[in-house]
Amino acid sequence: MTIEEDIKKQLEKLPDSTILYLNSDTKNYYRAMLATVDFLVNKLKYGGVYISSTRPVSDIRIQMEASGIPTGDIHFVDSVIYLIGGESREERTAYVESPSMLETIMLKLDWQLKQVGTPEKFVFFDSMNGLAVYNEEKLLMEFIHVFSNNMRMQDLYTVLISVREQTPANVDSLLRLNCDDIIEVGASQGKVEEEAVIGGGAKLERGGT
Amino acid sequence: MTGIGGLDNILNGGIPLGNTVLVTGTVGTGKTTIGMEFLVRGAQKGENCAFITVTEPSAKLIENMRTYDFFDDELIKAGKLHIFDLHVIYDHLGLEWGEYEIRDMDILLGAFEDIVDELSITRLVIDSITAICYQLQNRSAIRKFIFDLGKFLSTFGCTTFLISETVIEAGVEKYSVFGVEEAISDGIMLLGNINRKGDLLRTIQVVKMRGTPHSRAKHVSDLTPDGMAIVPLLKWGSDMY
Ligand SMILES: Nc1ncnc2c1ncn2[C@@H]1O[C@H](COP(=O)(O)OP(=O)(O)OP(=O)(O)O)[C@@H](O)[C@H]1O
Ligand SMILES: [Mg+2]
Repeated sequence: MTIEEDIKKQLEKLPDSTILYLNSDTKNYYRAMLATVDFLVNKLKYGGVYISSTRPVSDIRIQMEASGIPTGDIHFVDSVIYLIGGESREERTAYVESPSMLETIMLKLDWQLKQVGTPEKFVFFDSMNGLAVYNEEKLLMEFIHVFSNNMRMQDLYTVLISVREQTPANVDSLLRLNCDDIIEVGASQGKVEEEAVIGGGAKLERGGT
Repeated sequence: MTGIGGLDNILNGGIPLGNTVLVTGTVGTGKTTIGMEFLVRGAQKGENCAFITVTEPSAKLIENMRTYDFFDDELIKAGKLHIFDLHVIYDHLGLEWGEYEIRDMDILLGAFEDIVDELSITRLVIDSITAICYQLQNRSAIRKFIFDLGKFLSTFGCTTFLISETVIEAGVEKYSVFGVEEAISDGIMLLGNINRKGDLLRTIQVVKMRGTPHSRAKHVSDLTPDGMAIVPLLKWGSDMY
């Protein structure tokens, strides 16, 4: 089974709306991201908002299109372009000056969500380890708490992705506690398996905090 | 209800009718925008609203406001939203821009009163009160002017934003240049920025509002095409003072 197939199998078991922690190793990170967005867009037919604090939206959009994911119903919030000094004129994209402006990211997300035309919507946050580079741990943890509760209140299908090797331990525990479901992708910490995929797909008791 | 997203939550319902609110902040913090949105939201509900612009010509103001989706020219055509240039009002009154006499102040107050009365204005914005105050000779003249203004506005049930600039004096931020504007106002809304590792987040805080139990916490705001949006400031991300 490929990584994509495995992720899809696990996603199929989840309810129509959840707060999902997508925990991947570095190697399979893009595949995990693309497989999940592919499921949301092509299988569930959701439109949504993709928040990037890792790579510029132009790159992500190209990568999605190349993988057969139409991006017409995906809006973006980009908080990296100002850091690297690129062009900030992508369609359907709101820009935030830095990944440390967490509240502004939430406000831009709200605005972009209103523009999404599909009845059911997703929010994909790429990535928690990216935010950890720019934010104090306490602030980031407060944000995750507020953000996940906010998304849950709005009943949005929410995915928080994080690269396992780069996620601070406290942030990882909080994500496990606050999210409704977890999908693990790739080698788990410490292990050096080559093509090991298939995390447990551990399912937490629903509810979170 | 002001109709401005998020603000009514902070205010626990809205601004009590007839309150005079000082909307104050440093340059570029969104004072003019929130003032205009306040009027547009009122006009959309059928209220008669007026904006008195002092610091920039009305044509320029309208041009800037057209960059927002919430701004609607139709409200002006429908006679729900009026925009007055203070300089034009001066010309009509035969007043000179510069220092006024007490008598001129009374004439100006009379003109404001006529606007509110004749057009049945229930929402008024004066942008900025600081610019008007600069022309009054002293604190007691300013005090009297704002006091008289507030008094007639509240009798008319006209809710008013007086836009003001904050000043830093000896390292302390003051809500107004002359220090009397805030004492006389029924409410103060402070617009500003916080610096987080070199990035500026826009903030809004209701410092005082007579007649309503409100949140005094600092919130983060964003100017969207739909107007101002607001979320609470994260606790661990606030600045030190
Ligand atoms: N269409 C727009 N969408 C989002 N933000 C905008 C838009 N137009 C202007 N801005 C931002 O709003 C800021 C100015 O807002 P505004 O004029 O309301 O502030 P102000 O406090 O009245 O400023 P001043 O002190 O110059 O009178 C600008 O600095 C700009 O960053
Ligand atoms: Mg202004």
